[in-house]
Amino acid sequence: MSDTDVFILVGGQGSRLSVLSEHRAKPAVPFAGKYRIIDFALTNCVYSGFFHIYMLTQYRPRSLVEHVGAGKPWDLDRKWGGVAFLHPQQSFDGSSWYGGTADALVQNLDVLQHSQAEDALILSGDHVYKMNYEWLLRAHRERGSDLTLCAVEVPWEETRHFGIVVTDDSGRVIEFEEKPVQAQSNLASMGVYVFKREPLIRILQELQRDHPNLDFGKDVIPAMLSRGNVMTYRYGGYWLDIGSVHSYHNASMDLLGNEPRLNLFDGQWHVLTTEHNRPPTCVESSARVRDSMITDGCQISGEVVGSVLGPGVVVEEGARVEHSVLMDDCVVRRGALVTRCIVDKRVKIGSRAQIGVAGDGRANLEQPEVLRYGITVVGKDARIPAHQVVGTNCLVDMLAGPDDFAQRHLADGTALRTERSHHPVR
Amino acid sequence: MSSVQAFVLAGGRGDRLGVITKHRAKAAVPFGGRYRIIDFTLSNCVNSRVHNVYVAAQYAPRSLQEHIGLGRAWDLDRRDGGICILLPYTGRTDSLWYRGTADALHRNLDMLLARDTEMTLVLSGDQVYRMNYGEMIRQHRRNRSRVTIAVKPVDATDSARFGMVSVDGTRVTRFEEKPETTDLRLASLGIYLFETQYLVRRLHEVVPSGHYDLVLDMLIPAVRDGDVAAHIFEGFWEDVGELDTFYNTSRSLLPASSAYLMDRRRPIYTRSEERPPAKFGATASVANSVVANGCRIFGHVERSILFPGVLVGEGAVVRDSILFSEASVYRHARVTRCILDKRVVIGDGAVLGQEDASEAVLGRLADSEVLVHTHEGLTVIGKETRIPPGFECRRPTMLDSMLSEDAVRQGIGDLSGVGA
Repeated sequence: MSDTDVFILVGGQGSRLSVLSEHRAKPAVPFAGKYRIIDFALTNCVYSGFFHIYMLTQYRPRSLVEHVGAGKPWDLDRKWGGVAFLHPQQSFDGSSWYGGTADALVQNLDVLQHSQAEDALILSGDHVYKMNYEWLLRAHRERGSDLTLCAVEVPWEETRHFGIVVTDDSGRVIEFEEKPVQAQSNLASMGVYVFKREPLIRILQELQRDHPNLDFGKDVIPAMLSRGNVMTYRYGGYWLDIGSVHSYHNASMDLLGNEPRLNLFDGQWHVLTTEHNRPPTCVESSARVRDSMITDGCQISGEVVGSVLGPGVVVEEGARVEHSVLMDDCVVRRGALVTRCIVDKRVKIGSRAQIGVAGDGRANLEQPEVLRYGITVVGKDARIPAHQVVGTNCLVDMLAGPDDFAQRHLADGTALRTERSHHPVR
Repeated sequence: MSSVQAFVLAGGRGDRLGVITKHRAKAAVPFGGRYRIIDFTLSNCVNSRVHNVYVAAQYAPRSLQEHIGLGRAWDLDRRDGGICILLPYTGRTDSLWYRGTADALHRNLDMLLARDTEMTLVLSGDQVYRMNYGEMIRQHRRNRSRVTIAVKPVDATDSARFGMVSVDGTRVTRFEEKPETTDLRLASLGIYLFETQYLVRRLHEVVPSGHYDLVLDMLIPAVRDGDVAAHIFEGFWEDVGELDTFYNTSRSLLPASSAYLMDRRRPIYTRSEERPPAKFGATASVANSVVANGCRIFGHVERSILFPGVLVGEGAVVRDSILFSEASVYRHARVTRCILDKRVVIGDGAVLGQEDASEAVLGRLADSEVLVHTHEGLTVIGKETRIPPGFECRRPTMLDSMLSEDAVRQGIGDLSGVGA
């Protein structure tokens, strides 16, 4: 579809992902062992035949830029089209950061204006789903819509976290409520939009005067309702916005089970990513591995149950990892226990340490809204000393070392910060 | 080190690997749960900063060509140098296959001279080893040698597999090709470093007069002339040209010594396949095994090597076996001491292979002279063959490739019948 430009919004902070996104953009957070969250959107694009892709970055884009590179794994290193990064920039008429999702596009309006494309597809870089956008575009064009937004049914109790769509029988959107307290429908906008290019340019130009922080959900979509033909496109498959530690953990657990909700073993839709050169995984004679997903390069001598392991993870004899996510090159020493944790890259967990064991279950003191569901998060390159006990709902800062652990036992809800991590404590 | 080019001999048929090399060159045989044998040589080249690489192919080159592609996996898709596969071609005056190793070099003389390199490494594409050619190159330069060959001490019982040499200092004084008995203890590893000009001169002398073998017709005369030096290599090195050595070398990489493949300073590179991480089901039990990405395991696996995309169904048991990419062992099937080629399917409840090692003749392919033996009691199933549900065969066997369930049931394609 060379007549459609794709804009992927990858600039968000994702503060509800705690230490996982303190040093990287949310779409660059590793997921499902060998992938990054952004791989899902990029894979969808190329499998749907969309090769003109712009990435709107802002917050800590380094790991994202490094991961995507010239786009080789997605066949996006091509002569026509391909992937380009639109970073915030300085120019003659002033310089500013992107104030909101739609403002990012406003500041790159020239790209839209100079384009020959008929439509613009707008995506989020932090959603996990497999979707053929070609079908979406076909529906959009057949119905002659100015805007088609993708919608998915969500549980009623979660409607207050989403943009909720109310439609008539034909699928036309008659009302759009951003994060309503009392929802009239449980049909949520997925943050996947197709605009006709001309009307999109017009509405962005019109709204930008009064809205320095222009946002698609808050401003652009509601305004479009009175100005054009806005339709929904219903999506019925697996879709998850990896917005929080809790949803990250849920999505990871959705990969497991004999009939997983999120199936990556889909011959028609293998998710594409930057491959790292690793030998296959070695499972030693003392190992027990059940109901887990294990990436190449691991060495497992201990027990792994209901967990997702990234490349190069080492689990020594007598150690146990359960219901956890361990990213690249983590080491779990002899006799250690890791339970209900999300452990970032290269963390070393000392022998007989116990991480994530629940006590009174108190929410985290620093991030009570984020860390309250019984999951402990360990930032990258942390080194947890032998025999250390860390409760549930805890946060261990990236680069935390043995001397940062003043107490042998960190109670539930503790936030262990270290000056080594070089960024302000929020 | 642009002053060195490598010429990799990858044309061999590998008849002693039986049905495994029916559809692929020996150098393209899968190894170690993820690799092809040639990956070791190619990775050694780039890890030693030799970036001019030629690969001479002839027998069943497709799998090799597809695997190597533009050489991207080894960073050999370069502006200067890079990798080039040299297949036999027709010319005005000659249109012949490569008649031997020296002939393969001679027919590509223009390529050998094109980059004006000081030295030429002549390597084999079918050996498993990790080596820094830089040390050999430095020794070669220091001694101003014309030819340097890598040698390694071996057991006396192995001499019939090797060219055996004796040395005086670093100079090679004697060379015996595959002697049944000998007092020599150093084996030539098929890793030769030539002064390029010397190599070209010798080729001009030898090949036009009808001598086509690199060892017999060039190396041994060069030893007689005192032109050959030896470089001692002490590391792990194996030629996996026979079924048993292929099986045992593969399994020597099982967890106890897995550090070999895990060494990240000198990684072995290979073409990556897009597959999700391996999935271990709730009913899986896996011990002492190597498991690649894309596997789905619901049964029991021990002392085995699983390549990408292998499926082991619930209640199935896989022991002491090597399963190539996308082989499937369905529910309650039992596979013991087997090598299953790509996309082989073992039907529900089928039983294949025997428990213990024993000597057996596995037969030969219809177009081959070589009778394939095993001392390990192996069963080998050719690519894409489908074993029907409930089928039982508990003796060492070799089945042809692409067999349907009916064919297997009727005993068609059991190669032990062919010429045995």
